[in-house]
Amino acid sequence: MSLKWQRSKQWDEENIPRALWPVQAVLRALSSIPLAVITLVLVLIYAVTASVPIGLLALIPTYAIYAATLIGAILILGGVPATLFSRILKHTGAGKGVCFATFTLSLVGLGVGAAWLWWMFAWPRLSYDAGTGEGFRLFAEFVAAYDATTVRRLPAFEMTELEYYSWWPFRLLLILFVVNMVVATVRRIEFSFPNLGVLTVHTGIVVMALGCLYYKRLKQEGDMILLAGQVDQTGTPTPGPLEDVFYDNTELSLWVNDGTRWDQRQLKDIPRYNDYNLTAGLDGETPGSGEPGHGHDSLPPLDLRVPTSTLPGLAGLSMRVVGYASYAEPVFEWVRMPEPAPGQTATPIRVVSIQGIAPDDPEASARASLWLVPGVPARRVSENELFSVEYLRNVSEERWRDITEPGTRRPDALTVELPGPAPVRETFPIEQGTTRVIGAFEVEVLGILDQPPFPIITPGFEGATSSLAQVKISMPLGETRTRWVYHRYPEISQDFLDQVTPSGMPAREAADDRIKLVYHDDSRIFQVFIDERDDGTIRAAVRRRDGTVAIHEDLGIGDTIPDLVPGAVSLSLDQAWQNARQVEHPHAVHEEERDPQFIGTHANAMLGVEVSDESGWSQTVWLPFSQYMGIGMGAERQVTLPSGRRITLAFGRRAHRLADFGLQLLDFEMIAYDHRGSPRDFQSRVRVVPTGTRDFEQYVHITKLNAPLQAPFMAREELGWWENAIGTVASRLNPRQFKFSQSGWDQQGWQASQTRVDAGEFERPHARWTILGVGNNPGIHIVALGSMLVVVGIPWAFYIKPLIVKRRSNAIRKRIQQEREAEQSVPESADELVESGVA
Amino acid sequence: MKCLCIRPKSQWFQFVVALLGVCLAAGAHAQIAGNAHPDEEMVSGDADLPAVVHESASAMTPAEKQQFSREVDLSSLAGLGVFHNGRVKTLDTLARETVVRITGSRHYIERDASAGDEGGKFKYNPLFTLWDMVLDQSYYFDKPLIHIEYLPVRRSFVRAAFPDDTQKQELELKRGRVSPHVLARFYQQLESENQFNLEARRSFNAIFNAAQLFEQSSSNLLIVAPEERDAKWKGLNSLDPEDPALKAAVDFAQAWQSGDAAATTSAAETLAATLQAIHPEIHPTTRLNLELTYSKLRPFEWGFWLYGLALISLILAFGTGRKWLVWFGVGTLVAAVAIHFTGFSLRCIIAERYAIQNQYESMTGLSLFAVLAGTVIMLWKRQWLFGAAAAGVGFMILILATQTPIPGESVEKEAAILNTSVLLKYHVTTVLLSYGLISLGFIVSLFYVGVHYATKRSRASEAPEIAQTALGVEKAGPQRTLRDLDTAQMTILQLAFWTLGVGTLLGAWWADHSWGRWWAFDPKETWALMTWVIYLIVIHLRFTLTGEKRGLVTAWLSIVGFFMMLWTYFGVNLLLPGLHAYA
Repeated sequence: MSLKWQRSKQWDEENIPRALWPVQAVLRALSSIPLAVITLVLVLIYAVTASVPIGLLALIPTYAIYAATLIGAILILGGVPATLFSRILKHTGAGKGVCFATFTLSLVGLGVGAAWLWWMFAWPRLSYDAGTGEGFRLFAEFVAAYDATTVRRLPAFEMTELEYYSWWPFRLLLILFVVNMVVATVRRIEFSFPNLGVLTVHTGIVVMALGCLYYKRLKQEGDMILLAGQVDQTGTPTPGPLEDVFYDNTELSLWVNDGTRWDQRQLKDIPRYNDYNLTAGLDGETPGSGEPGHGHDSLPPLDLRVPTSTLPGLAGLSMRVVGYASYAEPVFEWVRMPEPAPGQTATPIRVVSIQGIAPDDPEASARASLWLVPGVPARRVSENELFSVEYLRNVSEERWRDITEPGTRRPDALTVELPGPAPVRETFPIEQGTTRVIGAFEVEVLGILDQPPFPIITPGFEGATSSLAQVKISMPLGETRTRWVYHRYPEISQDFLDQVTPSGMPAREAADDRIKLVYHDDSRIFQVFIDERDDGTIRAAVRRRDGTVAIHEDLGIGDTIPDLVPGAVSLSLDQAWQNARQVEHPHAVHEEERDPQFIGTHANAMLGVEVSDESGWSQTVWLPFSQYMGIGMGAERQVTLPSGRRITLAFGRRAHRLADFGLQLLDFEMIAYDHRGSPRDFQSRVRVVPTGTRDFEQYVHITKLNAPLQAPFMAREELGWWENAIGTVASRLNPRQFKFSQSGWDQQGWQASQTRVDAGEFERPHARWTILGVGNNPGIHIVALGSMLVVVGIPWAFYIKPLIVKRRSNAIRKRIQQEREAEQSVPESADELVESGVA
Repeated sequence: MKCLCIRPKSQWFQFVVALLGVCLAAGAHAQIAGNAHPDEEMVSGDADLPAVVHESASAMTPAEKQQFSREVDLSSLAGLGVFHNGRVKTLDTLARETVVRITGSRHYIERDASAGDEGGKFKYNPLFTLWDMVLDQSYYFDKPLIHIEYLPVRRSFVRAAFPDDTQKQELELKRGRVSPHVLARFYQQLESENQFNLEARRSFNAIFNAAQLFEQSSSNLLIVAPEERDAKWKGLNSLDPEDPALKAAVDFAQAWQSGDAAATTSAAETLAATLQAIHPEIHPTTRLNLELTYSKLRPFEWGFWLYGLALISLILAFGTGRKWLVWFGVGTLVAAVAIHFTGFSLRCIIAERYAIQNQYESMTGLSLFAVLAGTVIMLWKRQWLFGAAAAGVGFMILILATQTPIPGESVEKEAAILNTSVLLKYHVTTVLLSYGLISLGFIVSLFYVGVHYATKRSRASEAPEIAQTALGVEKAGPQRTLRDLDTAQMTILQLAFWTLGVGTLLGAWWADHSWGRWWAFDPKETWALMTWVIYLIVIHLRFTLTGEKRGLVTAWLSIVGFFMMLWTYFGVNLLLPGLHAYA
C-alpha cells in the first residue's frame, strides 16, 4: 500500500462526515484496483459477445472434451508408464539424473505415440462431420443454427460491431474505467519522478479518451463513386462529372420524390441481420398457400416511423417501415382483391397445377403451381422446354380448330388455309427451306425462331414472346411478302412487304386474309390449351409431340386433366379469382446461398414501407436497397395515390454533401503483378475542385492503395513548409477535412475493355468508375498524442523506474548502513520502501 | 455443375473450364480493393508442347517407369526458370507445387515394383513426375493419382469404383487418391448427389482443380525467357522450328517417350543449356540458385528438429544438472536459430519481399522473432530457461507450419494492400514479435505453474532444483526460486505487453493513413486489444496480490493470454469475417 493511498484514506476519515458514508464508499470503490480489473474483465466478456458467434461458444464444451480425451490418452499411455519407469529405476538405485532423463524421454516418446494413436483411432470417431452428422458434438443443432450469429446479430440487438461498441453499456464500462483510473491515480500514485511512466500512461489514456469523444462526435464515414467520362478512340477516358456527394457507411435514408425532386428522410433503428414481417403488403389470400405468409407467420412485426417529408407533394401522407428482409430477392406474388369499383378493370387469374408421379415410385411426386392471367397475353402462358400451359378465354371456333389440328409427329408444322367457296386446308411438317405450292400460292419457310428477333411491341402484347415461322408467300399475281406467323398469337401475325417505308424500314401490314397460315410448334412433350367460356364451362386441348391431340370438354374448377404424360403427369384446375393484384415482396435467400461479405450490409436487403393518408388509405411497397442513388437504376418504386398521382420511393444510404469541394475522376489504372495477373495496386487520378465558400486552387492527386487523397487541404510541394505544417495540423481538427482512399474498382469494365484492347479496338484498358472510401478524422492528432504517451510511458514504468528504484534503494541501504550500528539489520527489501513512497 | 472428363487436350473439357470462368466473372461484385490475397492460378500459362511431340498410349510398366526414374538425371533442369503464378521460379519448385496439389503429398508414390510382393513404396522425384505427366500422361490414367482430402467424398468414389470389393475399398480409402479414370466416370454423378453438402462441394472443387492441373500441366511450362523483363514468358511452342532449344526439347521428349535414360539425361542438359541461352540477361540466375538451395535445404524442417533436440537437451540438463547438456542444448539452439534465420532470409530473397505476408510466412517469422528474443535474453541473463522456452516456441510453431496444411507454403504474391506500405510491415513485424514473446512467456509460465504445484504437492520435489538449474542459481529455497521464475515470466510479459501495444497502435496509424479510420472494431483489431487487456489485467492484479499468489495468478493469466493470442492469430482469421483476410 502506497503512502499516498494511506494519506488519501486518512483525508477521507478527517474530511468526509460520517453521514456522507456513501460518498466515501463510492470514492473508495473508484480508487480501487480490483474495480479496474473487474471493469477490464467485463470489457473482455463484452468483446467476446461482440465478435464470437454463439454457435462457436457452444462448441467450447465439445472441444474441451476432445482435448480431455487427448490429454487423457497422453497421461494414461505416456505419463503413467513414464512415471513407473522412473520409479522402478529409482528403486534400483539409479541416480536422479538418470531417473529424470528416463522419465522425460519416455514421457516424450510415449506421449507422441499416445497422441498418434489418438489421432488414428479416437479422432476419426470424435471428429464431427456436419454433412453426415457422424462424430461427436454437443448442441450440434444449436451450433449449426447459430454458427455465424453473434449476440449483436440477434433480433433484440441488430447492431454492427461499431454500433455494438458504441452502445451505452460499453460506453458506461469505459467511462467507469477511465474515472476509476483517474481517481485511483490521483489518490494512490505519488506524483514523483520514478512514477513518471505510469502517470504518462494514464494521462495518455485520458487524452485518447478525450480525443475519441471529439472524434466520435464529428466522425463521418462512407464512400463515393466517381464516374469516368466518355472514352476516346484510344480508350482514354475524358474527365468524369464532378461529384460532391458521398454515402454513409451505416446511416440509412428513405428517399422520396413527389415528382419535383428527391428528399431523403433518415431512417433509424433499421434491422440488419434478421427478417421482419416479410408478408407486409400481402394482406390478402395468396394462391400459393391459400394463406398469407407462406411460412413466414412467425416473423416478428416491425413498426418504425419515417420522419415526415417537407416536399409539398407529400403533404398529408405518412410513412412507416413495416417490414425488413435482410437478404432477399424480389419476387412477385398475386394477392386476391375484391371486385373492382365500377369503371375499374379487374385482373382475373387462374391457378393450375402440374403434378408428376414417378411411374415406378408413387411416393415420389412433384407439384408445381402456375398462376395464369387469361386477359394478359404475356401472362396467360407458362412454358419451359418440356411443356407449356396456355389459359385462354372465349376462344373462337376457328382458333380452336387450329389448336386441335392433329400434329405431324415433327417439331414444326404449318397449316395453310385458303378460304373461299372451295376452301383448301393443309397441314404439313416444315423446316427451314420447306417450300409448298397450295392453290395459286407458294409458301417457303425462311426460318423458324424460338423467339422473335425483336421484342413484341404491339399494344397489349408487351412482354409476350412466342416461337414463330418466317414464311415467304408468293401471291397469285406474283408479288411476294414475308409473314411472321406466331405459334401463340396468330392475331398479331404480320406481312412484311417488299417495299420500304420512307424511313427505310420494310413496309408491313396485317396478314393478308386470302391466305391463312398457322404455325404449330410441337417441340414440347405436351402443350395444354385451356379455354374458359363466359358461361363458366371449360374445355382443354392437349397437344403431344407424337402428333395426337386430346380434347377434354365440360371441365370446371377443381377438375383434373389426367395423363398429359400417360401414367405420370396430370394437370388440375385449382382456383379461379375474379380479381387479383400482383405485389412485389421479398423472398428470403437461403442462408447457405448468402455471400458472407454482404451479410449485415443491407446490400441485398429490402425494406417494406407503408404509405398512408388521412382518409385511411394505405399501401405497402417493398424497396430493394440502392447502394448509390441514381446508379443501378431500377431500385426505385412508385406508389399510386388515391388521387392518381404517383410518388417514387427508394431505400438507400444517407447521402452527405462535401461542403467545400467536389471530385472528378480523370483516369483510373489497375497495375497488375504480371502482365494481366492479380492487381498490385489501383490508381485513381482525381481532380479536387472548389465548389463552396472556401477558395483554393484546384489540384490533381493520384489516389492509390496506401496513398489516399486528402481534401480540401493536402500538403504539397508547391506550398511552403510552414503552410504545409500549419495546414496539416489545422486540417486534422477540422471535421470538413476528408480523406479519400482507393476502395473499389470496376473489375468487369476493366476486363471488358482489356478484351477490346486485345481485339485492337482500343490502345489501353479503362474503367467506368472508381470507388473511394471517404472519411474525416477530426481530432486524430489528439488520439495520436495519447497513444504516444502510452507508448513512451510503458517502457519508463517497466524498465526505467526499476533502475531508479534500484539506485535509490542502494543509496538508502548505504545510508542506513552508515547510520545504524553494525549489529542492526538492514531491511529485507529497500526496494519496497522506495515503492511505498518512503524515498 | 462441372463435368470432368479426363481426355488429353479435350476441347470439351476446355470448354467446360472456360464456361466456368465466364460464370464466375458474371457473378463478380466490386470488392474492397487490394484487401485479399491475389488469386492463385493453378494453370497460369498457355504453353504447350511443340506440335511434333505426339502423345501416345504409355508403353511403360510401373517397373520400367521406376527403373527409368532411377536412371534419368534431371538435375540440369531443376534450376531452370519458369514463369508461374506471377513470378519466375525454378522448374523444381513448380514441380513440387504441382505434385503436392495433385497428389496431396510431396511425392507421387507407387508400390516399389523391384521389391516384389513385400515391397515398400517408391517415391518419384517431383520433377520427374511433372515431366512424366506432360510427356506420358496416359500412364497415369488408371493410377491412383488425384488426392481427395474429404473422407466422405473419398469414400463415395471408392465405393462407386469398387462396389463389390470391400478389401479394395479399404485399401484405396487409406491411399487417399483415385485415378483420373475413376474421376471421369463418377465425378459428375457424385457431385450431383452431394451438391447440397457444403464441405463436399469444396472437396469437389479441389478435385476439379487437381484434375485440371493434371490435364493441363504442360500449360504451365512457360520456360522461354522474353526479350524484356516485364514481357510475358512463353512456352516451347512459341519457338522457331529451327531454334536449338526446340530441337533439344523434341529430342528430350522423344528420348523420354522411348524410355532411354541416358539419351534423356543428355537431352535434358542440352535443353537446359539452350533455354538458358535465350535472353540470358532475363534469367534471375542467382535467385533461382538460391531457390533451389532453399528447396533442397528445407530449413524450417531442419529448424524444428534442431529446436526439438535443443529443447530436450535443455530439459534433460535442468533435470540432471549436467553442464555438457546445457552447452549442447544451447549450441543446438544457436544452430537452429542460424538455419531458421537462413531459411527466412532465403525466402525473403526468393519472394523479393519481406516474407511475413501469409499464414505460413508469419509463423516462420513469428517463431524466428521469438527465438531471437529468447536467445538474446538467455545470453543476457545467463538463464537457460529462456533458451528452453525459445526452443519450445521454435519447435512448436515450425512443426505446425511445416507438418500441417497451413496455407502459404508456396512463395506467392502478396495482397496489394500489403505490397504498397512500409508502415504495415513495421506493424506486422511488431505484432508478430509480441506474439512470439507471448509464446515465450507462456512456456516460462507453464514452468512456473509446474514448479509451483510440484513444490506444493511433494515435500521432496525435485522441481525447485530443476528450476534452479534452469535459472542458473544454486541452492536457493523454493520461495526464492518461484520469485525468480516470476521475474523471468514478467521480463517477457512486460516486453510482450509493450510490443503488442506498439504493434496495435502502428496498425491503427496505418489504418488511419490508408483507410481514413484508425479503429474499425474489426475482429482482428478487437482481439489484439483484448489480448493486450489480459496483460493489462495482469499488471493491475499484481498490485492487489502478494507473495506466491502474485506469481501464480500471473502465470495462469499468461497461459490464458497465450490462448487468447492463438485465437487472435488463427481463430479470427479462419472463423470470423473481417478486414484482415490476408493476415
